[in-house]
Amino acid sequence: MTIDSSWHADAELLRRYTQGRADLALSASIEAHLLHCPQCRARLAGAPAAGEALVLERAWAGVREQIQRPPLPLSLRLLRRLGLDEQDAVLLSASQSLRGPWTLATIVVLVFAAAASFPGDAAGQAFYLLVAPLIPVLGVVSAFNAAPGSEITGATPYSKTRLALLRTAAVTLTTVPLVVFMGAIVPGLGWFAFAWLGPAIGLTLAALVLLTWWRPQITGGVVSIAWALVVGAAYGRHHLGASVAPGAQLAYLVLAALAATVLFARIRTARTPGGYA
Amino acid sequence: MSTDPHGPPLITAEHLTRRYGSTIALDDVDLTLGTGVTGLLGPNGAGKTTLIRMLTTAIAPTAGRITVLGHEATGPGGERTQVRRHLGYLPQEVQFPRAMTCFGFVDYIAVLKEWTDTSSRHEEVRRVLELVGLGAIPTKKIRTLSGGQRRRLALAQSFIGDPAFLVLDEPTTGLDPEQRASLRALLSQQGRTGTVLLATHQTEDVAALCERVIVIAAGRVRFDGSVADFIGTASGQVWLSAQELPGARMSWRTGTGRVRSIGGTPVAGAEQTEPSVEDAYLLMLGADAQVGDEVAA
Repeated sequence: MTIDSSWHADAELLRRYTQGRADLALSASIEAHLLHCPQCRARLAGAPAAGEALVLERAWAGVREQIQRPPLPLSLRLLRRLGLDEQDAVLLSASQSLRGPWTLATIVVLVFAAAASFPGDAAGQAFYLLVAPLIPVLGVVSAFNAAPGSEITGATPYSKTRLALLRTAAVTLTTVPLVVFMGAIVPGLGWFAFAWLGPAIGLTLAALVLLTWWRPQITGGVVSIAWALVVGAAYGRHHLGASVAPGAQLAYLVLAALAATVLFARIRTARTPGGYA
Repeated sequence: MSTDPHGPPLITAEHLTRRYGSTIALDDVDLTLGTGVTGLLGPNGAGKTTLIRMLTTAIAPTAGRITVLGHEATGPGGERTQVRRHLGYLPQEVQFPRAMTCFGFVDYIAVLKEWTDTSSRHEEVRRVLELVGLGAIPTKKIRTLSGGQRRRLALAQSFIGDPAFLVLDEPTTGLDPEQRASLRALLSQQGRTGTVLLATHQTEDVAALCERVIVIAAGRVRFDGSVADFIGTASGQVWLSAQELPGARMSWRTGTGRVRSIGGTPVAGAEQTEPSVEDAYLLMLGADAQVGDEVAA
């Protein structure tokens, strides 16, 4: 094998080699040359730092990415596993609003676990019917307008309606299964354990519509009082089941359909008071 | 209405008026902005924040029209979204989610600014945190940050994506002199290619950074022109003397022991001195410079 000693690898070639940008054939050719060329070896000796630096930089970038990316709360990790988009998870992690409804739902679970020792109690059932549909409602109300740094978020191009609905959907998705689970394990609730879902859908959509006009506190108050009147009236007539009977369920679904229609129209035209949506 | 000498107007506001009940916060204001850094000066309650909130599409004017880079900031939703794509905004006060980290907060805003690719978004978050000197503490919780660090974090988000129109409301509040100087360097760099509007009470920031100044008082534009011309309005009206000049708008004893008077009738021994932006501002607004609170907006 004869080696042409007048030829030397140029700087660019050596750089490509040290940075791992030379293909296999070229790398093999350079290595063959280096074995017989002390000048190129000497030049390369000054360069390995660049190659090492690149590897180190890549490794460090990976570590940095892992360290700096804030960990998601448990509820969002669950939603991520269910297919929640990475960007949506970032948006939801910025919102403190999920914590309140989660805490509320957990407290209600504990209360009903304690109440389970009194199966078939009408007052306990009434309380359950009163509170269960209001958990998603209050969750939605607290989540709707809870964008942190709202002055800044308002000046970003992201759809504020989508942001609000994303938060409310996350609250609903994380609290409703909890309440359903609680209803299923508490004895003595019978079909009430699931009957609240009809009013929950109607009331939640109605609350969303009202939120496009009113502040969250007023909306939450009005919807809660309205529902308390319905349950209170049925309990007062000793016919609690009337508030969630098939006829009433139909009324809640009609309410939901109407609210959804109005909501759709409001999303397209709504402006926040004195400003923009 | 004056046109910026550095290029065609990129932002135009015509006949802007905003009323809150019977209070007029902004009254028939016209202005144009081109590339460069423009200072917005005015006393509390002058209408600065109202103007800024309209320029950043936060509130609608009662009357008038704003266009930003060819899009109508006062137009329908789609147009406002287009405006927001070119916007970087630092409000006077920011409600932070205190449990979040520096990185998490800026990442959140970057998502809202439509940075969809995770890796380039994180790269951008790191870039802007470095820019404001918070690159070393990305994982620090916001509740543990000092006031100056929070201000810089708020600034960082406004730089995401190098916006063509940067609107900063009191950006130097809470910054130490070194941080203030590095922010000036950053903004002057930004002003070479984009439009920077800097609302401030710090006249020294305007003197050090801005080519142009707009003075607003009682909802109206009182001055709109170059900083040199603005300073020129106080020419021959600032004096150094042994005692306060009669009829002076304002006077105080300086560190040298001599009294600096703005306006007033010169007495024997009084020497004229070079006016500053602050002198021109105080002279122009007089008593207005200290009145009222910012109109709630």
